[in-house]
Amino acid sequence: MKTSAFLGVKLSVLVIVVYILVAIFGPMMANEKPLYCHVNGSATFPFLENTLAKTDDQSCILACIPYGPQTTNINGHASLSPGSYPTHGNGKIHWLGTDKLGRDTAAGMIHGTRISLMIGVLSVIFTFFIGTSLGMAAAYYSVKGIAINILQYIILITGITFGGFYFIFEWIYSGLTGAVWIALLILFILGMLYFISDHILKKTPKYRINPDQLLMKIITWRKSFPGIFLLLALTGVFVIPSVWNIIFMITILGWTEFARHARAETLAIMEENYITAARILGFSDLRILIRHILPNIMPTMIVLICFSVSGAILAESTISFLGIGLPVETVTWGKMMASGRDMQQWWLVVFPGLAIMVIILSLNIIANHYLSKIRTNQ
Amino acid sequence: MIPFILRKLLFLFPTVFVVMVTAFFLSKLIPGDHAESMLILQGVQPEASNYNREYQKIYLKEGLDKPLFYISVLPHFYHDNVHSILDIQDRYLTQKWQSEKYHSKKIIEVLNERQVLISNIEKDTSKKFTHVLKNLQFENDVKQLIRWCDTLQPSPTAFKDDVKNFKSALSSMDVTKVTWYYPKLVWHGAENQFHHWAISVFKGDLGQSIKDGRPVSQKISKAIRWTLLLAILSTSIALMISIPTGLYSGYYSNTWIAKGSNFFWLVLYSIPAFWLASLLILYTTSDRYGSWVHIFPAPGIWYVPDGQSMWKTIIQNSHQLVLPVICMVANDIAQISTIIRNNTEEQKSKTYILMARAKGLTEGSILIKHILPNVLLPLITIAGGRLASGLAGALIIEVIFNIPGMGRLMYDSILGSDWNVVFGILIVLSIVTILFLTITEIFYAWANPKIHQKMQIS
Repeated sequence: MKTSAFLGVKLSVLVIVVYILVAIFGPMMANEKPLYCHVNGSATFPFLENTLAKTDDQSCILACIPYGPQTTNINGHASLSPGSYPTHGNGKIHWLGTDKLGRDTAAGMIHGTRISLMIGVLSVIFTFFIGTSLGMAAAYYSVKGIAINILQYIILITGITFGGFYFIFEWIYSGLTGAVWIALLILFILGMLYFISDHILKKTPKYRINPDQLLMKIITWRKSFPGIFLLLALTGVFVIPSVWNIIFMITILGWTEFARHARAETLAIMEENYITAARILGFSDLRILIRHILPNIMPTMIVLICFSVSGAILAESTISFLGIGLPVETVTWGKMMASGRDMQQWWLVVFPGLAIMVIILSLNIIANHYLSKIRTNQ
Repeated sequence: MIPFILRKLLFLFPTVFVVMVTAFFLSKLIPGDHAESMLILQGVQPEASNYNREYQKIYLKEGLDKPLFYISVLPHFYHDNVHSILDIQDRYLTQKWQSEKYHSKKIIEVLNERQVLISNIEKDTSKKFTHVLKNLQFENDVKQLIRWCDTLQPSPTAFKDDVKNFKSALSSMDVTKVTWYYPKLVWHGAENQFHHWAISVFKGDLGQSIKDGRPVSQKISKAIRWTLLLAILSTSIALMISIPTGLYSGYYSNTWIAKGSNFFWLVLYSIPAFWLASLLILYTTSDRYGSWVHIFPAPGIWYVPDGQSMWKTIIQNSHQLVLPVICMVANDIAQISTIIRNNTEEQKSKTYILMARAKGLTEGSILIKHILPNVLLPLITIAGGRLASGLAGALIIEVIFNIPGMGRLMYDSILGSDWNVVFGILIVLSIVTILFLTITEIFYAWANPKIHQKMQIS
């Protein structure tokens, strides 16, 4: 039992590594331009260049799938089933068939891997950093509270309101860079005042502010919205279709989940004796948070990372299946499936779906492995 | 218990308020003019002579001239309420020039002079200056306008003074461009758009669909029945299947059946719902891959006559519901049965089970009488959460299978830019979600007093 479960995890890691390699080396695997050419006595790499002179030369090394994801060719290439040869053109086999515009399915899937993994991995990196740091900090200071004096309290409130005000309006007047400079300036002045006031008013009574309650309010607020509807409304309404905007929105909608779990885990760990010991030893808050708490909440976070990556990939393919959110010319798994469903072409539905299922399954197996590890430890 | 429920219900209000504020401001961020789309619905063309009058009528009727919120924080030189400017072009120019740091008082003067000039040119019977009129109406660059005045000035006409006034207003606006600004707080009171919108939402009025003019609430109330039906059907079927299987594979966790089913659930959980749906449609709804796999009808167009009762429609279309329910159940079963399995495994090793076994109870009665109630408790939260997320999760299934539910309505409205419907759905679903979560919490506390006490302490 032990070995078979471990084999599954190893296999899943292998699958994910293969996916990442495909995503990185995608343009070398599926490209209409040759990988290497010997032109006029010098070596060139046409696939790296944007423009290309016509090279149907025998001296070229082609990519193993000599079609780009966006190469349309209706003449003799359209709607071919897997493993068939085109009647016109270069006569190279379409391993997984083509769609109604003659785009190669295999090339599209390789390109789709790039898009999906980029969205999945980047959005989770951002959500992980924002969510985990806020959740940990909130839980850490919910026990202790942040003690500030009256002057600091006033500085904090005015700083947040004025900073927000000038940030927004400077963004309108002079763009984002100007806004960031203004924000940094305000932060600097406030920071100076903050530390000075700490030394001036030493004996005044301290107020305790609890960031935990604020975080919990934000989490409740986010939880009240049905996620996929909000994502659809946002993508449909405001945003120019692009991969980065999707990543941004998944981050905005997803970080609360990380914050929730990081907070709960940190609260549990705060009860442990070694945290008390570290406090008594006089370690700084930052050191306790990073060196003592973070490693101990990591197993839970890895489980969450796996689920979040698969959730982000699923969200991306769902909205591109619905035809919302990504530029028209971008080929993704979801879009291929949608066109396959419309045209009753099974290869366009089966293969991209299989690709999604395999990566989600691998991520789930890894997550499950860590979950059972956590459970046996408790 | 009752104070606990009351407190929970009281806490609903701030949450609902914040959610409504969010939805309202999101809806206000949409590019485009609401009154203009209402005019298109009424069939008034932008070329029509009475367009401006009709526009202002609708603008006032919809209350769009009111400020957005109770308070607004603006730079000191801004107009208190830009929305109170009725003319589209004037409002647009004010907003544009304010964002170029021109003082709003000067802007109003310029706009007044501009109005005088335009009306005088229009009154001019010689029609010599109609070509400059277009230029004046659509030019929004201040420097360009000043230069334009210079080229116009030498002509000896009746409105020479107007041009001069216009130019002097423009140049005085240009000179007094603001460099430093500070915030000002404007209190608008209850006469604002959010207040009116919130009240009408509580009255059940979500506005009008700009596609067919029907009330949004009517559209949503028709659609939500289907979504609720799907959510309840799929959740209850999933519970019925996953409780026994989860209990079995948790209790006899070392058998091959349990291990096999665990892996099977994991695979099933990894299948995207829309892939399963597409595959099922592709293979089981047509004769293309052999007549023996043609089991289900193709997802068709639902014709629901007005006034036909819900039950009749359900019975008429029940064969259409099989596939969507299968797709929704597939994901749910995997998730719920995994949770039940884990809970059972946890309960199995508790000492009270050892006690029961020592008393000589049979394995069956231990499972049913002792483990099941303890496993079912956390299931209340899960079932509530599933129902709430089932409302949203049905979106893609509804789109694929053409079911006239909320998801389908949302999708069509986004594609058709019918924002009243989009945000109506968003607000209704959010309120339903909040209610579901609160009811689940109360129910859970009622079923498990231990949780109730814990909540009171924290």
